[in-house]
Amino acid sequence: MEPLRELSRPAWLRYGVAVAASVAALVATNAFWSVFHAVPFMLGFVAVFATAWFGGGGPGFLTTVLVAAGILFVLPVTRTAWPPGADDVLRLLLFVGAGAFASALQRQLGASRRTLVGLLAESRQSRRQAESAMIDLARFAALVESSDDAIIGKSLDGTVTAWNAAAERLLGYKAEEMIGKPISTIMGAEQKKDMVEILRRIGRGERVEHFETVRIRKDGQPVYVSLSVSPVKDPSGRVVGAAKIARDISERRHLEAERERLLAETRKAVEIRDAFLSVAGHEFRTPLAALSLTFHNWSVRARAEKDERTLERMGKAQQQVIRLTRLTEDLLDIGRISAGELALQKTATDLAAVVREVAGRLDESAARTGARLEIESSGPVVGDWDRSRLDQVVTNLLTNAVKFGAGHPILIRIHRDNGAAELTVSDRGIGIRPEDRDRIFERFERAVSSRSYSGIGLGLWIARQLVTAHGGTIEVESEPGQGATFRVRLPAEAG
Amino acid sequence: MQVLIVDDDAAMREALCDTLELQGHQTAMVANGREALEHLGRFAPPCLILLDLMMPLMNGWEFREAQLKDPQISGIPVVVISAHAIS
Repeated sequence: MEPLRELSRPAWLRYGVAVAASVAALVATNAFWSVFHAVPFMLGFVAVFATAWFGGGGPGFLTTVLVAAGILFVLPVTRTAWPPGADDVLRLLLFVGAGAFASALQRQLGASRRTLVGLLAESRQSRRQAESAMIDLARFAALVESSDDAIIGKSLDGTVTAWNAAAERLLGYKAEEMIGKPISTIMGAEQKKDMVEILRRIGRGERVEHFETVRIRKDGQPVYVSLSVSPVKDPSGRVVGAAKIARDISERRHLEAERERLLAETRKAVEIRDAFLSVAGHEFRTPLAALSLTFHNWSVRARAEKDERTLERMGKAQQQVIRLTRLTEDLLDIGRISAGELALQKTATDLAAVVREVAGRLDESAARTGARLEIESSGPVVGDWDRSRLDQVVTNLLTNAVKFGAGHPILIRIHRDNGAAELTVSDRGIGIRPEDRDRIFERFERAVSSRSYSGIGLGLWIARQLVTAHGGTIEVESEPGQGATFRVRLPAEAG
Repeated sequence: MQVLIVDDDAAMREALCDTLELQGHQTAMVANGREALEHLGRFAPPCLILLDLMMPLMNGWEFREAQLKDPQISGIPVVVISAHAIS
């Protein structure tokens, strides 16, 4: 509140001015006695009014007293006779009364002015508050209007009360078309049931968030929306309506559908690939069998005729047929494993014997790289396994060790460990980078460039599938440049 | 031993024939089940039939059905050779 001007002055100044004005009035009255002798209080009145105006009721009253005292006790020394006459006393009393009245009037006036000033300040503040509220409201309205989400207000009986620009864009109806209309205008039969439930929850004061549903546009097209609905309450807290924010999720739904479609397409492509590999594999088998038989027959003839040169060539040709046959079988295994048709024919099998047999087969190709296969086993390690599948696992691991072992010795250890058979194949070759260690067990994955190393990236995947089918595990430890150790653990009865 | 080879793949047929003849057996070759039945109707029954399954005109399964219905030839032992696993 703005203080009164006269009261805002310091008291010493207000009362100092009262004293000075009193003295000045007395001095001037005395100096111009010839003028004022008939009205000796005239200048006193002026002083009282002036000080009351300048300093308020208190100083006015002080001036009254000082002037009265001055005229009564000081001026008589120079100007008037003492004791004063009855007229003089009357005039004095009149002066004091008038001065006191003027001062009281000024005091009262001050109080009124203070009230007035207070009211004025209050009114200014409420105007500022009103302005600020208007600005907030305008800002909020702009926010609602510029929102990308449709914002819709409705009463509890489902009548539309607000409809922003985004609602116009999303649903195709103008605000003037929708305000006052039932919200069910934009709903299909199914959604009307939902609305009853939503309004029931809103009526209880609950919020409904991210409810995905469909609304019908003015042009009849459905539009997918995510709704958040909040209750609108009056100042007493009673729910009087609902504010609904609808976000267009058609694009998201579209992307989801697109993703589903791509996923289905990818799955289909994988199925087709596997089916193709299976058909191709079967088609390769007959010519390979015919080729193998033909080479066999030629070898038989060469042996009978003691034609060593042909015999050796036929042997090499047979090796290539065996390689082709193995690749074909790998391709066929993809289909079998993917279709869950991997049937294991389990018999009592000695893992150490299988390893020796495979190593014997690979000795020659290992020797060509300069590598030596060293087997370390404490004796037979027998389990209930599919012998030919186990042979395949060991073949794949040893083939890899020879291929990536850089010509260093390869150590193969077989031993029994707590009811499990453990086979480790360690090479001292190029090793595997940490980021590739999981990947190499996946289909068609290779950790090395196909320009440097041949192979289609199936060996370890098949090995893992076969080991897993036996209830076992396969893992690898490796540092790049330090070689790799593959560890296979298979369940085996203790003994 | 007399062996009848039933296979639509000429290379396979000839390779099998070669293998058996190298071991001193006598062979005859036909390309499908129908030709096999005709052959069996005309010539003396062989000691063994090597039978492919996937063949045009009459496949291996159909040949077996026909063979088992005919008492003249139903007793001839058959070895199936196929690129497909038998399920």
